[in-house]
Amino acid sequence: MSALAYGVVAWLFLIGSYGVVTSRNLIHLVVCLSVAQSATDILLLEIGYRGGGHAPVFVGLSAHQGPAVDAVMQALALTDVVVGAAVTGLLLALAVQVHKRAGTLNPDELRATRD
Amino acid sequence: MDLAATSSAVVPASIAVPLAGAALMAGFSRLLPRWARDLIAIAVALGTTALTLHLTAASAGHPMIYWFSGWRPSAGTAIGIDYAVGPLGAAMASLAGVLASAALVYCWRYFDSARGRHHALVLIFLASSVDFCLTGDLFNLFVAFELAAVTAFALTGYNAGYPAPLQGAINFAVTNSLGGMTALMGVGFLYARTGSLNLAQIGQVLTGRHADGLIVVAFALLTGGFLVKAAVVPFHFWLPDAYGSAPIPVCVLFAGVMSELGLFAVIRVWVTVFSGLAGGSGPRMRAVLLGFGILTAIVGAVMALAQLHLKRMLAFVTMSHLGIYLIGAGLLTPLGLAGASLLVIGDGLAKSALFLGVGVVQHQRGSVSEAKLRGRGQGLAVTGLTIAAGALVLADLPPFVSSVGHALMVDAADQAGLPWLEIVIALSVIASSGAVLRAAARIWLGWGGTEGSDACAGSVDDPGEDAGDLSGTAGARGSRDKRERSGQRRRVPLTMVLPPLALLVTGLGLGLTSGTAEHAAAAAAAFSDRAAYAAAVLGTHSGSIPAVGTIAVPVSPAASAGGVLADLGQVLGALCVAGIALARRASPLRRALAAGTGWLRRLHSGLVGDQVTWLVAGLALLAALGEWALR
Repeated sequence: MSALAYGVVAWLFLIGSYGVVTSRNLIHLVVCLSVAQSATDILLLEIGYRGGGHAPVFVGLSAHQGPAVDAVMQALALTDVVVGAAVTGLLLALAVQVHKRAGTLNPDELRATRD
Repeated sequence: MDLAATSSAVVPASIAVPLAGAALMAGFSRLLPRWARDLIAIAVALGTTALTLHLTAASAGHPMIYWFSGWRPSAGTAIGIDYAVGPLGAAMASLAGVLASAALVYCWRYFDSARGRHHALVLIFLASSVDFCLTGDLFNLFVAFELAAVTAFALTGYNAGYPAPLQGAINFAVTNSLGGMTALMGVGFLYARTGSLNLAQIGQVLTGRHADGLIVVAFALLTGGFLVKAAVVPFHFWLPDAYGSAPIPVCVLFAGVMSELGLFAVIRVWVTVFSGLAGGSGPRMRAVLLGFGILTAIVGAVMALAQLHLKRMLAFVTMSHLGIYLIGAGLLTPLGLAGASLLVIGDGLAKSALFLGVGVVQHQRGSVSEAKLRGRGQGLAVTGLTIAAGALVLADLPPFVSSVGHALMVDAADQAGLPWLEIVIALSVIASSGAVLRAAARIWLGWGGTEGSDACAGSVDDPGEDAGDLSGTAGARGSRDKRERSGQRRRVPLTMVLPPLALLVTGLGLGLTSGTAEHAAAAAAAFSDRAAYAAAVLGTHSGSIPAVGTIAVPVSPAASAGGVLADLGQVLGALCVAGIALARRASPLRRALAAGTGWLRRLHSGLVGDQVTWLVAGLALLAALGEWALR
């Protein structure tokens, strides 16, 4: 279980990065970035996971038996989701502007800053 | 004590004030007239500067620990989130405040219609920089990293009407987001190993342990993420694209503090977390950091010389300086860190003044191309002098504060038995300052032929510079069109002339203040003292925290005279480089240099895919080096 989760993390990060590197479309590129981002979230959740643990809710419920999963890591993952949403939104807005101004979504054709 | 009581309230206020100001700007800017928006934003930035300056003074001697909501550590275990304020971090935060204030004053007349959103973003950027400098919590460090990054992406693409800022913002956002992801993975791995997010606590758990594979991976991911922000080779490719296309007031913030914060985080995490690992990894880590620093310093300087696009040139100058700071901080001695910190302050002020000066030229002449501006500097004499002075300060002209920092760094290199580092530093400083001086001489004195510029910039048919120029002037042309209606030859507004001068005068004043070097050395010693930091944060020995011993700063007359001579030599060298770059007779030399560095220029393709490839390769390299250094 654990090894599988870490394998998924490595796979998602690498395939996401590969997608960013080879992308021919800015929208596709942003989605690939989100794929790489989800690797981070899965990693954090896996680090906080405990086999058989219950949800980290301690108030207003009858006492659970056994350990809870780590709430700190879930908080980190949640923060990361928020950051990811902000970055994705911003990048998509930029992509829309690129399409308006340069008439293309291909990052290889948008060569305004090369040296 | 009264001072302590007020100071403890100042700590959270230093981030609450800019955040509240940003919320006000974002929420109510439509209700406020333009002058009120500008005034409130400037007042908030100045207030934040005052608070952080107060913290710099109050935390000298012993760190100030602030636990949010009073969640103090229990029996030496941190359960809350803390701010661990030291003079070095607080001084960095003050620098951010000064530069944000200067940028906001400059904005007054720079944008034709500055909306509240711009001011809000600048203030959020300031708040996250302060947070970054003061925090003692690893996850909080990541949050500040991301908050600063996201606001910076938005600020870079603020002129969304042109392709260059858009591409700069996209490259910046994609590479730095990947850097943020790797940093967060590193945070997660460290938490998995130590069960804590507090820097001091993690350090305590790792003390005396041998590094295993997980710690090496955590080191590589965390440090790699911060090195992306610090724009260290090979993570640097986004920097010229972003700095070269961002609006001028934003460049000021970026060049002065943003990437320096990345280096700050690398050293802070190294000192508090990894330096206690068993196995004496210090010397090997020093070699790794110095290697990255030297590479960055030289690549940045060479690329700066090859630029005709003024903002892009300053971007590479910034990068070269980041390498120099990494050399100083990477010596991993308090003296080297002190020298690097003073250089960060001195060069940061000077680089910001240069960017602001270039902004005046762009505003008045509608171009940022050195070749197109040749001989068109008449009427902008004050700006010309500002740019020339700034370039000389970058070459460590005494008695500006950067020359003090340079002297400390040279001493540190000598003490570490690596005196040849001085040559590396001098060469990159001479090349990057020489590039700026060359541009100033060409624009204001009309020196150098047009054919010389082609030879210097690389092959004549290199479309890169043309493309860069077109984008730069396209951005400027749009704003010039607006201005020409109201008369292009109007006087330069005082709010655009005075801020760069004020920044240079600040650098001069700091350099003339006696005891600057001693204060910096004491601050760096406190920053580097791992045990005292952990004891102060975790309260492991209650009551009296031993005052950090000040380290001796070698200020013997002979040493300081030698330092002044070395500084003057750098200034002279920079002038010579500028002269050679413009002299008609030296054009074969220039052509040879351009041919020799063409491959380096071609690597900076501006393609985001290439940049991410380099990033991933750099991470792999860092992991291999971390394995060698830590185990």
